[in-house]
Amino acid sequence: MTFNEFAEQVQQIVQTTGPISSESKLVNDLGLDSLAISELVVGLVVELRIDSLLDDAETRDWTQTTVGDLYDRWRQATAA
Amino acid sequence: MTGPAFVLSTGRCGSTLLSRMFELRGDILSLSEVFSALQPNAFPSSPLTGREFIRLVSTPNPRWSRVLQTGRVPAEIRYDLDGALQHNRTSGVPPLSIICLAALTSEPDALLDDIENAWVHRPASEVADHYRDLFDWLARRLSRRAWIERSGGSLEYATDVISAFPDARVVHLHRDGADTALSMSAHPYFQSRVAARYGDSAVPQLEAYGRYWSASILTGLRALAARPAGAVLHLSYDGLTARPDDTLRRVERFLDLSDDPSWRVDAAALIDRRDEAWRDVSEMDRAAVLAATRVGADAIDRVARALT
Repeated sequence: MTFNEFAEQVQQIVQTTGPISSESKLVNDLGLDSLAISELVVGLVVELRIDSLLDDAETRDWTQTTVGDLYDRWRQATAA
Repeated sequence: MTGPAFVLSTGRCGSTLLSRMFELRGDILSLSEVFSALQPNAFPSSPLTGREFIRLVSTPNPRWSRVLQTGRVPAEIRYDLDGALQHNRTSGVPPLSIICLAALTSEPDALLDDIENAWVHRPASEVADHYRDLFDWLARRLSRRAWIERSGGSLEYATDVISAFPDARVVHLHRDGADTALSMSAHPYFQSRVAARYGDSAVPQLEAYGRYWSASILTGLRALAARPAGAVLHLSYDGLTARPDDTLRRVERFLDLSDDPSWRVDAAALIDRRDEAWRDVSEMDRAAVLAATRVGADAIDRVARALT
């Protein structure tokens, strides 16, 4: 899956329509609140099987997390 | 007055039962659905004058008014919509009265008038200060030494509650995710809530409720992870209903309430456990909701392992 396809999945899960780049931050750029971030995590785990997102879901600083970080997690998950 | 205390939960998980159990005690005031009746505006970021706060808690919430107008009134609404009270299904009901004040008195309109008189000239302050003063005021008025607020679905905005009340003690009540999702799917409030968030259909699939449940659990656990040890008590609905005496004893200790065996017996008598009607759910829907709730269930398991 290319980054653009991954970004489309993210947009679908959190229901945003604005442009997304790998540097887009979930909070500042996509405007996600804490529930929306959790919905994104759930969506990515359920749909893309990125189970590693659960390892630090409660402690991770999501304000600094970018869509590119999540894409890297997906690539790691599929490479494993 | 002891410090603030809250029951946080996903909703549809036995938290109303726990509130009703607290109502049987003479020392703690059980406040129901204050925040949920005000959402999504329960925690405005700017300070409010007393008059503005009264406007916040007394202006009918369109989200609840829509529910009332469907004619399918959830059982937790305590305001007598068909009696001689001031408000009804058509007018909408003040959020503070619709459940909370109506559970405390048969004259919620008069109590809200008294609150308005006591608040209207107050200077501007953070909404958390207004809530704290209001809950203390109600506890004094009803001769209780403490209060505990419980709003169904409050895990969704646990961050707001924790930020507003950093000294709070929190009882986190949770129930099996799939059972909770199934129960949510039959409840008009959660139907509109989940449809709004996953809204490609007016009637969301059961899986959407599972995702909402998992997301609420993750959000709540993330907020609770920042609380100091000893400030959070995690309880399961299964534990509460299967072992009420042990569970309620833990609640008493956690909230510094007196050891009251007769309360625990009376509270246990309120338990009327009904298992969810899974027979009407297809295998495919059941598998999908189990997959969606696994995320939240795993998070709860991780917390439980960390605590043991």
